[in-house]
Amino acid sequence: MTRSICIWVALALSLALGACGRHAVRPDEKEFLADRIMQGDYDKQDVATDQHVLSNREGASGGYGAGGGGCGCN
Amino acid sequence: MQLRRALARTAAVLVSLGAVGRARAEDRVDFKLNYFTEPARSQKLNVVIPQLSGSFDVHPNVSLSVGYDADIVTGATPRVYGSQIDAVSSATKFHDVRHAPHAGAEFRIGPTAVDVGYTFSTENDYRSHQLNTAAKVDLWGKNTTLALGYSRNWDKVCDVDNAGATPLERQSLSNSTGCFSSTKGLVLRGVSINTYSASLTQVFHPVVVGDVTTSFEVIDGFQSNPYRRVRLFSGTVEAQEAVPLLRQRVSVQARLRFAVPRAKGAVHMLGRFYSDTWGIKSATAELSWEQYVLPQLLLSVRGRFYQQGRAVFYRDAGERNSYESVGPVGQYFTGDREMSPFRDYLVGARISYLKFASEKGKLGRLTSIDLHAKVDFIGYQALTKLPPNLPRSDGFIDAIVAQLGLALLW
Repeated sequence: MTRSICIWVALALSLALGACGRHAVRPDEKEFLADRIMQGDYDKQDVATDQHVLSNREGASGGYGAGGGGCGCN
Repeated sequence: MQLRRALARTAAVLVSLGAVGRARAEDRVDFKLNYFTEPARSQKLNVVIPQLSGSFDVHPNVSLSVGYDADIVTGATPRVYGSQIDAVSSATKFHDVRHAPHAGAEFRIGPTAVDVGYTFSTENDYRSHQLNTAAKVDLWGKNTTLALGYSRNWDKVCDVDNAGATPLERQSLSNSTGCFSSTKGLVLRGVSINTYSASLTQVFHPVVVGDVTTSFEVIDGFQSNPYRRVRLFSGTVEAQEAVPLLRQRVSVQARLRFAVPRAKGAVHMLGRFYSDTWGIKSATAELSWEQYVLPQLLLSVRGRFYQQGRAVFYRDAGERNSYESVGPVGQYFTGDREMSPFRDYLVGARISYLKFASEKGKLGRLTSIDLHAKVDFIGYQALTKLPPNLPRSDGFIDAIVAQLGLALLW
C-alpha cells in the first residue's frame, strides 16, 4: 500500500509540475474555473458534514483536501 | 461517543485549511439542517445535525468566522460483540447531544493567507479542545496553490476506573451519568491528536483544475469505545474493548475537475488511498456531475465507492478464529465495525436554487441567496460473515442523509 501511495503521489506531482511547463492560464481564461461548480469545496459546511458522516462509518479519515477551490480566480 | 472524534478532526481540517481560500471573501451566513438515519428494523440510529456559521470581513485583510454545530443522537446500539448475541435484547438505547461552537480568523497578505481557529466540543462523555492553523500561498499567476495545515486536539473521554486490571478484566462503562464530575469509580482518559496536511492545487488548462493532498495523523491515548464489550473464550470472559493506544494514519487524495462549457456542467473525479498502523488500508473512488439546468437551478449527482481491509487485531465472530474461539490478538480485541473489512456504496443528488442580485438593492443588502436540498443513500456490504452491528445493516439501504441548507451572501 505504501508503495502504491508513493506511485500515486509521484504521478500527481508529475502532472502538476508538467502543467507548469505549459504557458500559464491567464486570468481572462479563468471564466469557467471561477464558477462554483469548478470549486470542489465551494460549500465547506456541506463538505464537513459529508466527512463527518462518512468518517463515523468508515475506518479511514483525513486527507480530504486542503486547498479549497484553489483555482486562483480571485 | 458515536459522533465525536471524527467530527473534531473533520472540522479541524476544514476550518483550518478550507477556509484559506479567498482573496477578499464576501460576508456570508450559512445554515444547514441535516438528518442522518440508519433505518434498520432493529438498532435504529437517528442523528439531527443543525449547523450555523458566518464569516465577516473586519478589515480588507482580515476575516473572522464563528459557528455552532450540534449532533442530537438517539438510537440503540449493541454493547456486546460476539456470535451468540441477540441483536434486539443486547441493543442499548441511548440519547446524547454534542455541542460544538467554533471560531476562527483569516489574515491575508498579498498572495498568502494564514488561518487560525479553535473548536470546543462537549457531550456527556467526551470533551475536546482543538486548535488549528494553516497557511496558503498562490504561486505563478495564481495557477499553483500550496497549502500546509496543522491541528492539535486535547480530548478527554469518560471511562470506568480500570486501574490495575488486565485487558481481560476491564469493565465497561454502563452509562454517562457522573462523567466530568469527579464521580468515584470513573476517570477521564486523555487523547491527543496531531494532524499534519499538505496540499498542492494546479490549474492545468482553462477548463481543468486538480489537486493532491496528503495527510498524516497521530492519535495517542484511549481510543476504545468505553461502553463496548467483547465476548472471549466461549463467552466465559466479557471484557471492555481493548485497542492500541497509538494510531498513525496517512492518506493521499487526488482530485480532477473538468468544466464542460457547452453543457454548462462540470465533472469531478476523486481517488483516495489510506493506510494506518492498525493495519487498515482503504481506497475510495468518487465521480460527480454538476449541471446548470437553468441559470438559477444547479443539479448535482454523485456516486462513491469505498472499500477497506481489516485491522490486524480484528477477528470476526463468524470465523473459526474468532475471539470466542481462540481469544484476543495479543492484548487487543474489538467489536467496532470500522475495524472490519467492508464496502460502502453511495449515490446522492443535490439541487440548489441560486438567486443573484444583478444590481445593488435588488435583494436588499444581499448579493446572492443559495437554497438547496440534498439526499444521499448509502449501502453497506460486509466482507465477513458476522461483523459488529450487522443487524443495523439488514436492508438494501444502510443509511440515508438528508439536508436542507440556506446561504446568504452580501
